[in-house]
Amino acid sequence: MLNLLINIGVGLASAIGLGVAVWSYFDTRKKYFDEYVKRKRRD
Amino acid sequence: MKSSKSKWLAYTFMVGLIPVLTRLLAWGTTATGTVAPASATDFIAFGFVLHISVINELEHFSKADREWKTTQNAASVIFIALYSALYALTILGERNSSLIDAIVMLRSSIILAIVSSLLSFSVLHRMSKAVAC
Repeated sequence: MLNLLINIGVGLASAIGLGVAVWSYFDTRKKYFDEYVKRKRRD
Repeated sequence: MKSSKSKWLAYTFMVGLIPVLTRLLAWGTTATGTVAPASATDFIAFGFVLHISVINELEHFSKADREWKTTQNAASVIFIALYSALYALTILGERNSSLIDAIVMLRSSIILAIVSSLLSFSVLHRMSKAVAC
């Protein structure tokens, strides 16, 4: 029972962690790509 | 900006890995069966080091990305809570080995440590981009 709880907790946290990491990576890419495009247009 | 990533790798990531590497060294230099090659507590300590350093780095990061900072802080707090629970269970397992499956604990802490590393790299990636621009 305790092992099942540990597995569920670790599974959930891993899903949240991976989700946040992937979201953060693409959010950073989008943000800095947009800024790069703006800078290029200004130049 | 490569230097902030390599500094973080040298000062935080490698320092966090010291318990794991020390255990591997002890395992490699002693007779078979004297020291276990891996332990859940070493990976839990590594996870704590990563998330506490992430929270500290976020504290000094620009005020512009509030939503991103809040999400990363929340993820770090969730992971710290989970590592604390795993550590408490490991302590319980030392007293009563039938209560906790050591293999499950080790596997769980390794999985969490890998996810924590990815999460920390995503934070460092954002920070190095911000410094470069």
